[in-house]
Amino acid sequence: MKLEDIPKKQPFKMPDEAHFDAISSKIYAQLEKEEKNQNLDKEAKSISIDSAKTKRVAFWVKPQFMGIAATLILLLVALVGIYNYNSDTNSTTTLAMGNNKPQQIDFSKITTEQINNFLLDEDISENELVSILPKNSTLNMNSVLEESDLNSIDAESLDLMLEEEYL
Amino acid sequence: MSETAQPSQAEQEQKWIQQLQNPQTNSKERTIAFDGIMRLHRRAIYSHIRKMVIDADDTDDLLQETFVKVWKNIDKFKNESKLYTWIYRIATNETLRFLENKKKKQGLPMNETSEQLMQNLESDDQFSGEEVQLILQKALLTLPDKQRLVFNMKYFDEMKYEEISEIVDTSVGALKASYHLATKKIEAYLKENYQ
Repeated sequence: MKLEDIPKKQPFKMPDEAHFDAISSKIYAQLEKEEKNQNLDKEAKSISIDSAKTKRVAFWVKPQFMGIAATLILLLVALVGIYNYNSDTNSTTTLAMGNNKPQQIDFSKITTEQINNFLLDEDISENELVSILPKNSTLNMNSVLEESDLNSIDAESLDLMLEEEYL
Repeated sequence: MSETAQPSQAEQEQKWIQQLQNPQTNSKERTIAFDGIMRLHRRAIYSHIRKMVIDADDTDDLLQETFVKVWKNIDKFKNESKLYTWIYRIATNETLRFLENKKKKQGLPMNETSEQLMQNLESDDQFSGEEVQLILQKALLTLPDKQRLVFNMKYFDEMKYEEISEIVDTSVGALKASYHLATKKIEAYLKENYQ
């Protein structure tokens, strides 16, 4: 059998116009939907760009940045404080290093006259002076007071001396 | 065959194309112009797709997709060819892509895909032919998709080789060879299966 022997005919029945109209409606619906989606995409893009701008502005005030800034400031203050403290300590140390031995008054070198003058100037009694001196004070050890003429001054003489001083 | 053969329709079609391509045309006029073009070509395009995919619902979907693409790309249409050739080309590409994807999805070899389509054909109440027509269609389903496409356009739609060449982007010589080969295969099938 040859092809020419077959009567030529469209193999499928054509649907009616209503069927095609229904397809046309679907086409318009799809186009409308796609247009809406496109508009939504554009809006979303626009919002995204706006958001990006806001983010750029907000960077300077956003909590993370503020937190980091505050931490850095605190660190700086702490470092300045430590530096100053170290400077003071160093100067104190230098001073201390300069006078390696603690300064101790060698009472043996203080003359009786100086002690008397001190007692008169400071209006302090001998007993008071002894009471404020450390027990192991060199003044006690050297028994300066014992050798002082103050021991020989009686109360009456001392009063007189004081009166003279304050007149 | 497309109804654009009548001169008055061709003039009207040209006016619609200009309206659709003019950005100043309002949406109502655009819709009227597009509706006119659809009415002019939808039956021919439907028939073209239907012969390839067999299934009626798939045909409806592909026809819809074809005209959506026509709407979206009408600006790209340059009057170098006839509009129906351009629409045919879109429909053909959509159809071939659909068939390719269907085969990939089903993962079936070509002969099994053809058998499935033959079963669809037998149960299709819109199939208009007699027994010999059915056997012809079955013979066509044994051909590769592109060869079947060329055969359909030449045999059923009576298109010129030059027009088919524009649509499928193949040389006229190759199309002639393809059609001749398809005819031989079909006749061999008919000889074997129809007495």
